[in-house]
Amino acid sequence: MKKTDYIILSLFLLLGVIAAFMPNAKPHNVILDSHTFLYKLSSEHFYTTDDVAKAIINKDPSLLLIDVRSPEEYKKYTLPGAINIPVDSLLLDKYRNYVDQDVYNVVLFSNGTELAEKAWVMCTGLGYDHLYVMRGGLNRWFTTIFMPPKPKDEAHQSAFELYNFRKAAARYFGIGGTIEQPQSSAPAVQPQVNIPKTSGAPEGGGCE
Amino acid sequence: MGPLFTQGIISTEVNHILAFFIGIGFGFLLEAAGFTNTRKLAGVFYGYDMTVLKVFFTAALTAAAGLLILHTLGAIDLHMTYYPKTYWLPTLVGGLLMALGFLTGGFCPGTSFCAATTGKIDAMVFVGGIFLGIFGYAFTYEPIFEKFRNSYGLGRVNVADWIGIPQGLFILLMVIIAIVSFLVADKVQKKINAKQSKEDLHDLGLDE
Repeated sequence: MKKTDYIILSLFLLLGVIAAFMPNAKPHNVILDSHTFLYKLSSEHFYTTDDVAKAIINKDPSLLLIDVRSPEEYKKYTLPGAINIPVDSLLLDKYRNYVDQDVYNVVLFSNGTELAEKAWVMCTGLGYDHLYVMRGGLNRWFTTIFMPPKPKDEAHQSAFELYNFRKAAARYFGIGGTIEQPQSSAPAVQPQVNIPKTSGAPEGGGCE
Repeated sequence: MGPLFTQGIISTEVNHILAFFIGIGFGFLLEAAGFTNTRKLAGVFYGYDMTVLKVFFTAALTAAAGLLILHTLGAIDLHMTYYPKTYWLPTLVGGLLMALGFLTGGFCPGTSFCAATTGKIDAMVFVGGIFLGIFGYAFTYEPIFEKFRNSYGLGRVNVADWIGIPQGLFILLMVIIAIVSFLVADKVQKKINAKQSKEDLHDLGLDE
């Protein structure tokens, strides 16, 4: 080996020694700092009921609907294709891959906005991304998609187009007119999200 | 301060321009270091040239140490950098395929582009193969690869946290391992080259 090789190796070793005295940095597995969190909170993270209806009808493969209400409520009625993860179970290890992922746009919903928003805040605070809330929840789903208010005669054309879309969507979801897809309490096809059988990460470790 | 793009300090256009110049620098240095020579790249598998091992090992560890030090100094926020998840079996299979391509073709994706621009026909064929592979994978992703690609997930794994030692110490240990491996690799390289030169002399009928 030449003299320069020894100098380079020594510098390399020195870099390693300096690194050894640095404190741990744990990317993505700690609660977001307040600055980033406020930024996320202020950003647009809502789907309207129309957005959700369009995505379901178009069979948007990037959509994953999560019903954060209780299993009893889920059994009574939910959106087609939605899976049920009650808000108090969201952070359980077995559900983690549904909310901490980068494949789907996850839309959380409940009866109103509040519960889903709570779930969104919890998950976003943990650094999970691609999460959205269906604004107004199922209550607004019923009043906009299933019982859309007819626009006034002098309303803009876009209001009529929206109204017609909602009427067509209601028929698609099995309310009035022809029934193309049965309204079912359990989703027909649920998106497949891979869940590891065992977590390779130790509890509370750096592996989230 | 950093990362610049994630925080909106620089625009997409500036980001692309920076990437362009960094790319030029990377290509220039690959060519200058002789990495567009297939024999140099394949040499690591036969033991007669360990440059690739030294360069990539050093690069990875310098980046790791540098990032940790810069994070501690407040120059870059590691929370905002992309941190991919580990899918161990797909990664292992991908690594084996990559090594096979490396060994048979004598190029890795980056060096093949550099070599193609220097007019090497085998590199141009290699680049053609890369595109065939990309399109082949993309068009068969859903029916064939998707399930496997998302299997055996471990989440975001940090090896240092996983084995329970500070990240800086882990980097130092890896630096020491790297330096030892460089010294061993040098010995192996000298031995093989000495043996090879004797065989070459023998083939030419010039035994000492």
